[in-house]
Amino acid sequence: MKTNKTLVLFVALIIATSIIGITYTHWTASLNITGTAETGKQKIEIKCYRCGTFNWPCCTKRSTVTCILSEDKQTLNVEWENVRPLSKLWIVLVIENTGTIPVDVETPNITFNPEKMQNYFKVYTIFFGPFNSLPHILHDENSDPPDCWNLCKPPKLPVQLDPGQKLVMAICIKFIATCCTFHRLQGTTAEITTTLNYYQWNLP
Amino acid sequence: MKEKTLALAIVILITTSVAGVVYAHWTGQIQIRVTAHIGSLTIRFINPLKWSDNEATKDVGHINCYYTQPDPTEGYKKLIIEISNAYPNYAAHCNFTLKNIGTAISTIVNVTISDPNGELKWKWTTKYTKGFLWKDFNKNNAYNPGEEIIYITITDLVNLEFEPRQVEKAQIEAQITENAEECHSYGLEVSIAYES
Repeated sequence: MKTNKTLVLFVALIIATSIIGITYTHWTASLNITGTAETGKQKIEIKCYRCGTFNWPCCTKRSTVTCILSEDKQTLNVEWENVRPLSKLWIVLVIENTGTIPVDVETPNITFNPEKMQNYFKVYTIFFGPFNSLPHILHDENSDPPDCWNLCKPPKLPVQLDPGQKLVMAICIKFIATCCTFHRLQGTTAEITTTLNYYQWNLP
Repeated sequence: MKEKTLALAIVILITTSVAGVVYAHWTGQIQIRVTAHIGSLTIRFINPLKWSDNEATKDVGHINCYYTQPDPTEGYKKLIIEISNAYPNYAAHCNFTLKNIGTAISTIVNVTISDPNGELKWKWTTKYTKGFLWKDFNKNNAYNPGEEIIYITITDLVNLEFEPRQVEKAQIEAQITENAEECHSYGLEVSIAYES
């Protein structure tokens, strides 16, 4: 008798809970918001470049230059050989915002290795642009840099580059050692690194 | 005697048949028809739906919001938010409208936010209104500062009672943090649970 009562109670409980379950399911619902957020790309690449040297016409031993762009288009490696007093190196490169968001290009940071070599070189940098299409760069390695060097009014840094826009950067490096110093420095190597930093245009 | 018995039988027969007719004439039926309309519990997205972002000068990031899965009665079942070309500090918000198209009073009981792809995890900073999706960059199964990816702010809807035909406006805002990765797609899903 007791067993029967327990069984009946148990069955009743099962029925009751199942009814409650069904009722609950019927009276709850939900709405959904689905979102996707795709982030953009912040990138600047060196699109093209020209390198050249300027030597005094009377010099028999002329300095030479070789420029090689890295595969990721982030570094231009320049080998300037046979540098002599009054030698000049010029590099003109076009950098492009190949990303999808605007960037601000800062004043370049120039470092020397060994540090003392900064006493024997003078580095000038200048920017032109930004341009919406690729500007023409002279391809005569024995000539001076483009005339625009002294005529164009360069933009103030930082320069804002929208996606697809280009900026021309010109670098001129002069070897300013005297003849005496030159003899002392013969056979040594100087590493000059120009770093161009850029960041998201609207950062505070 | 036999005739008497027959006559009595005929009389009884006639009487009972007449009585039957009379009975049939004096009975009827009363019906109570009850139609039970079960209350419906349905909240849907309706127009207006508006969206904008925090860009004042340049149009770089983009946001698009739209409804899908139309309800045969009224409104839509789903709100889609698409953000593209986002960058750190880009914030986009979507102003949507909710309506109780059912017949029962409904109450919003919970809001949950998650990443359907499982890449990001959710953390409330202010329950049901503010929080962020974060990525376990250092794989320690715990949130650490610097792991926030998208801040989400949503109108406080929990415990809001919806009378039938009541309309409520709400807003959801997503802000990309500086920890977000470049060229990456993040997903999020907001589920608004309601009951009667």
